[in-house]
Amino acid sequence: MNNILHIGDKIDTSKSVENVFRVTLLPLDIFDFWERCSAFSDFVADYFQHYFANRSGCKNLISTVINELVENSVKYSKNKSQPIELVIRKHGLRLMITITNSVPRHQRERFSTICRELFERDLDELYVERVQTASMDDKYSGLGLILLKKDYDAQLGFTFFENEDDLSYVTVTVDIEISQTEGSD
Amino acid sequence: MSIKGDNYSVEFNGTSNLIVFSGVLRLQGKEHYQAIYDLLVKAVNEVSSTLKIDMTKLEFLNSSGISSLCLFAIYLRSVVGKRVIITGTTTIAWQAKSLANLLKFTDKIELKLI
Repeated sequence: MNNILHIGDKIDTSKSVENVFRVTLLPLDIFDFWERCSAFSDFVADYFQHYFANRSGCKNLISTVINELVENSVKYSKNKSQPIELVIRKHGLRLMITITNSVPRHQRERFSTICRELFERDLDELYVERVQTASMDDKYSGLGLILLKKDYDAQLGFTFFENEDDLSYVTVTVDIEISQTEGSD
Repeated sequence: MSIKGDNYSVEFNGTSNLIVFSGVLRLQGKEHYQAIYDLLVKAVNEVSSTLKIDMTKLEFLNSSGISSLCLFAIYLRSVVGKRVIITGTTTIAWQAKSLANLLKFTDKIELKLI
């Protein structure tokens, strides 16, 4: 990895976890049939809900978070034929989710500014400002990320890098509490 | 007046001044919510004073949809003599955590989380 830029919370993805779920998704597949994003998010939530008490509430929460991250990743992907890599790690009552996609090189600065603001601004003010300034066709407002941090109290980290293929990528890492109680099954 | 998709519906009943959202709303971007936004604007202009919105059957709404609701809240600032009562549920994550964002844009919305 070259030209690495870290923004946000330092989240240790090497910590001991109880389960790791990995998958790659083709952005083009989701663009062609948008409902796949929702179906996939529900599948992941269905799988992970059994670790936690209040399964129904946890399933709803997990699906919401995964859907937001996959939607973002698909929209931000430079190359819609290049797979998005998603890894979900379960540790205790939390999930750590990392998702990696290519980004247009000329957009890296803009994306990194959007990410940086999440840690430099009052999030309520930032949200109101972004909603009021983003036009109806603005796909890159970062509003979903603001909600994840502001409303879901998620830890968020971003790593921008370039690979051997000389393309730009971003890995978004989210660490979020799913439940305050383990499941009983 | 209603809008229906494969997994969702938004129905306005002019007699009861009530809009009911139900299902799963995860449209691709804000531009895809234009028809729903237009329905909200039309409905609030049709009611004599109070528009009620029931969200309790809307299992999911993505951030693009929440932003579109916020734009409706911004629109309400310019509407004279109307108010909106939104009912949501604490058992659905996006409602429990994000519905209150609408209140940051206008004082014409009352939120009831049950």
